[in-house]
Amino acid sequence: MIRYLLRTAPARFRAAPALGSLPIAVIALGAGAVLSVGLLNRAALEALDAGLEFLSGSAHLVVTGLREEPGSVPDDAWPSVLGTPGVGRAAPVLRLAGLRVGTRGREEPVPGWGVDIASGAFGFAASEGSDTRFVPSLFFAGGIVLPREVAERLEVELGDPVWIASGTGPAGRRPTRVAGTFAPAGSRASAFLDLAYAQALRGRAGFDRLEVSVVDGADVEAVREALSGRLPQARVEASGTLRAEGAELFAAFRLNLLALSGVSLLVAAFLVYASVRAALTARRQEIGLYRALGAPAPRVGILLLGEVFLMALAGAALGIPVGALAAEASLDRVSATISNLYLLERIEGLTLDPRVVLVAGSVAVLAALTGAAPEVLREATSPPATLLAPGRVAVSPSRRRFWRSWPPAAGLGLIGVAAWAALDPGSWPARVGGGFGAAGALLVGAALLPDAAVRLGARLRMGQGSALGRGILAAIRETGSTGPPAAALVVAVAMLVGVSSLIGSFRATLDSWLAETLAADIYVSRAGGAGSARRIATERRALSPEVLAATASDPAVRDRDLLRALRVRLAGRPVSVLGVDAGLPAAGERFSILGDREAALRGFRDGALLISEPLARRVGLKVGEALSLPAAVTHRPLRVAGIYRDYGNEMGALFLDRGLMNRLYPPEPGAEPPVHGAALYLRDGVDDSDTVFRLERTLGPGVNVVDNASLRARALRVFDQTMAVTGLLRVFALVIAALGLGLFLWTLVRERLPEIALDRALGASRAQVALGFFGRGAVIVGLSLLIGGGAGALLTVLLVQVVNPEWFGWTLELHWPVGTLAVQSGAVLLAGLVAAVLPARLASRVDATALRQEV
Amino acid sequence: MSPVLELADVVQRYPQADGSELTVLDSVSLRIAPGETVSIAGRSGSGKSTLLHIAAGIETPSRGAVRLGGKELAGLGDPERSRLRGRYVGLIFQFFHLVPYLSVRENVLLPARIAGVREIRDGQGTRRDVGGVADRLLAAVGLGRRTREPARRLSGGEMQRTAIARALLLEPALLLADEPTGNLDARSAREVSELLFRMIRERRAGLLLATHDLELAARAETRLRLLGGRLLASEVAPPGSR
Repeated sequence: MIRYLLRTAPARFRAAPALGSLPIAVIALGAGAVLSVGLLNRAALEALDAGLEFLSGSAHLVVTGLREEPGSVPDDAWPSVLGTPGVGRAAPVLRLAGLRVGTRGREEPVPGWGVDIASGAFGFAASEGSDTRFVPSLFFAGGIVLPREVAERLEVELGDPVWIASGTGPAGRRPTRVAGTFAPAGSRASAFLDLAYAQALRGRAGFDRLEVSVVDGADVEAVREALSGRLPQARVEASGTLRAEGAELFAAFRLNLLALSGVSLLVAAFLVYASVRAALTARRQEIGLYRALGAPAPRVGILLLGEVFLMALAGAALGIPVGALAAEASLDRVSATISNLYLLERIEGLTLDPRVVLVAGSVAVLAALTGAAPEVLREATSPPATLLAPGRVAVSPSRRRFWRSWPPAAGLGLIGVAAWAALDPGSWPARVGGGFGAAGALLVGAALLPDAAVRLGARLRMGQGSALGRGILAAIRETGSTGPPAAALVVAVAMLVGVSSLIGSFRATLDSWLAETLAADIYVSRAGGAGSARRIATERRALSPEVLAATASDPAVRDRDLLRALRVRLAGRPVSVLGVDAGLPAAGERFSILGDREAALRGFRDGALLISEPLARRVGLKVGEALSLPAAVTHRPLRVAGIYRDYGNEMGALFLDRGLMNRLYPPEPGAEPPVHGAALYLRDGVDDSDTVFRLERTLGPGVNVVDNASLRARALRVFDQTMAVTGLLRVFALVIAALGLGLFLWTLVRERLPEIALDRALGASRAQVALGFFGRGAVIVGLSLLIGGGAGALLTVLLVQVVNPEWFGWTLELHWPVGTLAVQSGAVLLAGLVAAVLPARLASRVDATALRQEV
Repeated sequence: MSPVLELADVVQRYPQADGSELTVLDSVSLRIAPGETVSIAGRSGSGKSTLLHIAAGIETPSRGAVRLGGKELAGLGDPERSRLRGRYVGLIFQFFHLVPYLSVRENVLLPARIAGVREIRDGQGTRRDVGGVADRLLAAVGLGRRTREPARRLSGGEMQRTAIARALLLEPALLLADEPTGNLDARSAREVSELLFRMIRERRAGLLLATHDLELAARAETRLRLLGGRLLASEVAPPGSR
């Protein structure tokens, strides 16, 4: 029978190409959505790996400073590590953030590394068979080794002069020569400098990390403990631990994308149901024949599922290019997102990983089989006599009662559970999957409601005078006539409303938060810092004494709020430690405090901490409790005076008085405590833009001077860029749903062929028939908008009240983006009605000759 | 000789929308010996098709016993009943029920595909390839030159001849034919009826034929009539007796 299935599949497809193509297209879109997210998530992980790239090969251990600062591993740690029993090799590494290489007319940003190739630990990772060119004498004289593609873009070759810089502007450029070119093995292309020259370019000693390999047979954990004992001011971790911690950082982001693609798949599963129903309706008598000729029900079921499997395989295969293209189209957005949110490397490119393809394909096939199973089961177990009877199958009263009562009851039950979770974020339904369980229950529950809603409207009497009205009435009076496509559209609409409203709420909250906390008139930071405390904390580029002096002496400046930033690890995750002058009246204005604001700021002035909401949630800290700051010179716990809202950093941040911070984290001997940012308050009547213009001229191109409005606009632009990635997935779900509606109406035309032919024989015009089907489409779209809109509103509450606090630690204010929702509703309506055009046209082409019984 | 089909006191009732029951078959008993041809005449809706469905094990009666080749159907589950029907019974329908996208030959071979049969043992115990059997059957029904044609391109008479070839492929002991000429013009009906009885005679298979065509019914050795759910002896005379 399997051979029969395979042999006859092409004939079946040729007999009804549209009926076969549509489900394949739907599965392809579903598989494409999952695959694109899989590929993007994979690329994001690769970017993470790039940040953790072990340049010396397979390092077992990594030594970093307790404060995650450039050069936080002192030079003298290297011989100490090499002298530790069990250590085979220790390779110092220094990363040059924001390295640029250029010639007279061109400039290229490229990740840069300082390495010590004399140690023998490094070779340039080159693709197999590629031609690596390297001149050691040039390299040791300060030359740079470039990836070949960068060299080609700059039009330079071995020995050619170039300049290098690690900041912006021409001031920091240093002339050098190309010491080598190579073709990188992976998608990442980095440039390399000799360690000593890299240190000179950065302007300070020390390494970022030491990559340690243990000798054969040595116990890695024992060596790790020995190193930890020798280097109390360093963090020694197994290389795998760093990656696991990094991956956890943006697990929530990846999960969100995965959930969105899951919605596309859920919609696709509904539509596979609809398409299988269409196919089986057309072949009901054929199925009856198999049963009559002696095929048992399970065998017929396997045969039909086998067909779906083949269809799903074809769809999944088509989904590969769809997913790859979609991922490629979203690459820049996701790349910008992970750079903005997690400060990871930009994604250089996509890799079509066979494992990701296999997983996406399998998930799509599984969803297709799940979607098809109910209808296959129904047809396979129907009595052969019923299947063989011409015309539609009469549903038994008991079966009708069952299908009438349980879906709406189950749907309402699931929605009730979701509503409970939304209203009470502490309840058990809210805790299942961190709120995603309740969101899933809501979507499935809403999808079960359309048929019941149709029955409620069955008593309508109006509109019988027109063809359109009769079509609408026919749609709402027939049990089961709207189910699958309406369910798919309901899910798509609910998702559209939910995600759009979540983004709207987030944006509105962010906007009001920025308005509340960005109180200064002008913000000054090192170029590349973008004024964000988080970014400053990561990149740690201090303002020079000249810049500080210039801002202090500017006649327009009334007050200055200086910021010091560094990053430490707390409970396995990076946390920004930020110091401001707590005594200044302006210092309190930068916080949006949750709870008692006065008490919090009073405590803050007295030496207590203000911690961000995500950090409080993550480590379970409450106001009044105490926290020991990691890597501080004293372990005396500091009291938490208050918790502030922070939408710029989901990893966590804390503020303390800058003077206290300088005592807890003293600078290097002889050095001044660094200042990474200055918020300037101008005198009354001074023009912001004039001051910005003057400061820019005074401070030079290496410093960012941004006024309040520009900084807010920039923050919102970054937010929009971050959220743009969800747009494609929303479009996927909508397209799949619209395709499904068209497919369903087309099925209906096939099912009702004799009735339509009879109507035509009795004098109905083509336009009347077409309008009737158009009316059905209108009912389905209208109903989906109503139910989906309601479910979407509840989904918004769930996402805002439960999912976001749980996964990101953010409290958001509910905000309904009415304009966006109206535009999206219009798009759904239009897509639905456009999808109804083709089936309506098909129906209008049926003529009375179709009354002839052919099978 | 044991009967190929035996119905004993078969009753079939269907529940109605108002809660009452409609009795379609009322204490129907029937035996068909190997090679015996039996026709059941009756008006539309008299229960002829129901009787055939029950005889084939496609429907389960409300009461009574059905034995196919001596096997009691009531004791069998769906898989066993399906298998028995596939190997023991040949079915011919009023609306032909060919798979339109398959070729004529593929349609004839369908019972073998379902049963997983590649060879058939004939009356002399000789094994014959099922494809060769299908080709010979198609030649016998006059479709030897159209075996590769999709079934949807055949005329009504050709469709029914294909269906007869399909019904006979696995050498069934019993043929159940439900209005085999009911959807054909007079000439095609005559040709199909000739063909059907000739092939039955050649194979010594039992035949239960449901029809409202009195001329066709009269060709059977035993002629019965369904009236009010009960099976009565028919007054139709065999051809040539009038």
